[in-house]
Amino acid sequence: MKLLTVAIFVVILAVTLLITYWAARKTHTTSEFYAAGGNLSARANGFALAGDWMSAAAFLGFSGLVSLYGMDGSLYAVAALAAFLVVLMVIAEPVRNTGRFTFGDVIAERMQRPSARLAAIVGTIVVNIAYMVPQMAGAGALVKLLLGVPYDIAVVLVGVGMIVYVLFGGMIATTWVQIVKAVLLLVAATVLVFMLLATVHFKPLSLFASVEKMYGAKMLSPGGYFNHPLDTLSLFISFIFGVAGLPHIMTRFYTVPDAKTARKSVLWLMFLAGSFFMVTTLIGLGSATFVGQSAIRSIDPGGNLALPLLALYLGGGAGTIGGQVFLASICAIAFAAILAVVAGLTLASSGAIAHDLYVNVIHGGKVSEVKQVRVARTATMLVGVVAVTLGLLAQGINVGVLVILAISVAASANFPIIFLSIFWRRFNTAGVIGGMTAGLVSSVALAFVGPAFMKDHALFPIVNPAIVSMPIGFLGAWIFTMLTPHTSNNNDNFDAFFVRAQTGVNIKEIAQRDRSRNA
Amino acid sequence: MWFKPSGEIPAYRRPTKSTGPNQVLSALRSNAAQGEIEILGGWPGLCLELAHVARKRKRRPTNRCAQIKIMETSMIELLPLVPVDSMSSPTDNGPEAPTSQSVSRSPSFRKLMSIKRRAIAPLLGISLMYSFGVALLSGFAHDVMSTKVSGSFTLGYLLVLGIYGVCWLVAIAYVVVANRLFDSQALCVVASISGEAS
Repeated sequence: MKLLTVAIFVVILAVTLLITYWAARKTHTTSEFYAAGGNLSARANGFALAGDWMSAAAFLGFSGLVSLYGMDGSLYAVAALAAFLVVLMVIAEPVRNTGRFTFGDVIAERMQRPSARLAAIVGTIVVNIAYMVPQMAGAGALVKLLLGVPYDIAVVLVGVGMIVYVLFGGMIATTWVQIVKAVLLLVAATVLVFMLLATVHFKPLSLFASVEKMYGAKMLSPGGYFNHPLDTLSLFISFIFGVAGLPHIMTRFYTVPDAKTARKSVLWLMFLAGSFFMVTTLIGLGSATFVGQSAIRSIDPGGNLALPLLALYLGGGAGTIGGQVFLASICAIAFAAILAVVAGLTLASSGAIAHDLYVNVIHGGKVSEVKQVRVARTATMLVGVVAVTLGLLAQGINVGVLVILAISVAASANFPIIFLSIFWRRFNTAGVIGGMTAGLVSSVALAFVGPAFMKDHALFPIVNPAIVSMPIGFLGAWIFTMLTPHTSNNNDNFDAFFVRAQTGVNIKEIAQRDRSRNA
Repeated sequence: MWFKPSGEIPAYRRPTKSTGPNQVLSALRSNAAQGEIEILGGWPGLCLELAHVARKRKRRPTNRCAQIKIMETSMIELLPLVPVDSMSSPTDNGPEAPTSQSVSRSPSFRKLMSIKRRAIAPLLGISLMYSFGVALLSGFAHDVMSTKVSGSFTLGYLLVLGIYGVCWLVAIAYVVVANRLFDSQALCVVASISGEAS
C-alpha cells in the first residue's frame, strides 16, 4: 500500500518537475516570470484558474463538511462558485487592462503614488500568508496520515516543491502545474462520482433518502454547521467579494493577452470548478452513507478525509487492490493540489515583494530587467522559507481561523480599495491607506475574537467577520478620502485610469508617443 | 497577391514593440484613432501583422467602427514591415492629441459605459440578490428550507441547485453580451479619439 502510494506521489512529482524544467528554459524576462509572457489562451488560463481555486480545502473540505453537516457544506461549496460573479463582471477586465504583474500595479496605476502601492503590498502578503499556512499544514497532515512521514518533513517537502516550481519555472511552470492538477482532479472526481452513482443505480436522490434515514432530516436543512443566523450570509459576502480581492487570482489575469480572453477564462473556470463543487454534495452524502460519520470523524474530526475514505470504499474497501489504488491516487492528487496552490501563492507574494516593493517602491522602477528577474527569484526563496517556517510552527495549532482570515481580509481590505480605485473618481491615496488599515484591522480583530478561534467563549458571534468588517473597510476608505482634498491631479489620474480600465487603451502612452515623435 | 490598397498608401506607424497580436492590434487601433489609416484591407507591412491577429482569433473580426477587415491568411506574403513616413501627422497641424479627460467625456465612451451598466447591473443584481436571498433564508427560515419537494429532497437543496443554474446562466449571458458589444464599442471609443479631441 505504502509503496504504491509513494510510487503515485513520485510520478506526479516527476511530471511537475518535467514541466518546470521545460518552463525554466522559456523563462527569461520578468513578463515570462510573473505572467507567462501574457499569451495564454482562455482555455489554458481557465483550467489554471480552476486549479488555483480547487485547492485541497475545496477538494477535501467541502465534501467533508457535507458528509458531517449536510446542507451547510453544500452552501459553502456553492458560495465558492458564486464568488466568481463579481470577479467576472467587475474585476477581471479592469485588472487585466491596467496592471502588469500584481495587485499593487493596479492601485499604483490609479494613484501614481508609491505609498498606495505599499498598502496593496501589505494586503497581498497578509492574505497570501494566511492562505498558505493552512495549506502547508494540511499537506503535512495528509502526507503524515498516508505515508507515515513526519509532519515536519512533509511540510519541508511541500516547501521545496513550490520553491523549485516558482524559482525555475516562474508563472509558466506554475500555470502548467495548475492545469495538470486541475485535469487530474476533474478526472478523479468524475470517476468517483460515476462509481458512486453506479452504486446507487444512478438515482442520486436515493443518497438524500439514505442520509435522511441514517442521520435525520436535519442533514438536509441548513443550520448543521453554522450557529448564528447571519453566518451563511456572511460566508457568502466574504466569498463573493473576497475572491475579487485575492491577489493570486488577479495575477492570473495578467497571463492572457486581452480583456476578452480574461472574461472567457473566467467562464471556463465557472464551469470547471462549478461542476466540481456541485458534485462535492453527492460525494459528501455518499461518504456519509457508505463510510459513515463516525468512521469519518474517527480519522479526522474535521471530516477532511471523507472523500479519500469514500474512494477507498468504492474501490473495493480496505485491503483490496482497487481500494488501495484509488485511495493512493486521490491522496496523491490532493497533495498535488496543495503543491500547485501554494506555488501560485508564492509567485503572487514574490511579485509583491520583488516587483512592487523592491523595484517600484524602493527603486522607483529603475531596475534592469536582468536584475528584476534575479530579485524576483530571491524573493521567491524568501517567501518559501517564511511559509515553511510558519507551516512548521502551525503544527497542532488550529489553523481554521487563518482560512477565514485570508478570505475576510481579501473582502474587507483588498476588495474595497480595488473596487473604489476602479470606479470612484474622488478616491485617493489616503483613502487607499485608510481602507486597507480599517479592513485589515477589523477583520483580523473580529476573526480572532470570533468562534473560529475562541470557540464557545467567542465575543463576536459570526464565524466570517466580513459582514461587519467589509463595511468598515469601505467606511475607512471613504473617511480618509474625504479628509484629504480632491486635486486636479487626482482627477486626471482617474480619467486616464478609467478609460484604460474600460477599454484597454492607454491614452497617456499614446499622447507621450505623439510628443516624442513630434519632438 | 494581396488586396490592392484603395487609393494612396496611408501613413503607417510601426508599432514600437510588435511582440504579440494584442500589441499589434492595439497599435493598429491607435493608428486608426489618429486618423492616419483607415484599416480596410491589406497593405504592405500591415497584412503580416493582421494575419497574426486573424490566426489568433480564427474568425474574422469585423467592426463597423474601426472597419478592420482581416484578409485570408493564405493571401499573406511575408514582406518586411514598411514603415511609411508620416505624410500628414495629425498632431502637427490637425487636431490636438487626445487627453484622458476628453476621451472619458466623449459620447462614444459614455455609450460604452452605459452599455456596460445596462448589461452588468441587472445580471449582477439578479444573481447576487438570489444568492444572498438563499443565504438569508438558510439563516432565518430553516422550516422553509427543509420543506420536502420530492422524497427526501428539500426546497433548500433545490434553491442551492438554483444558485448553480443562475451563476452559469448569468456568466454565459455576460460573456455573450460583452463579446458582442463591449469590445466593438471600445474600438469605437478608440477610433473616435482623434475626432473628439479636436
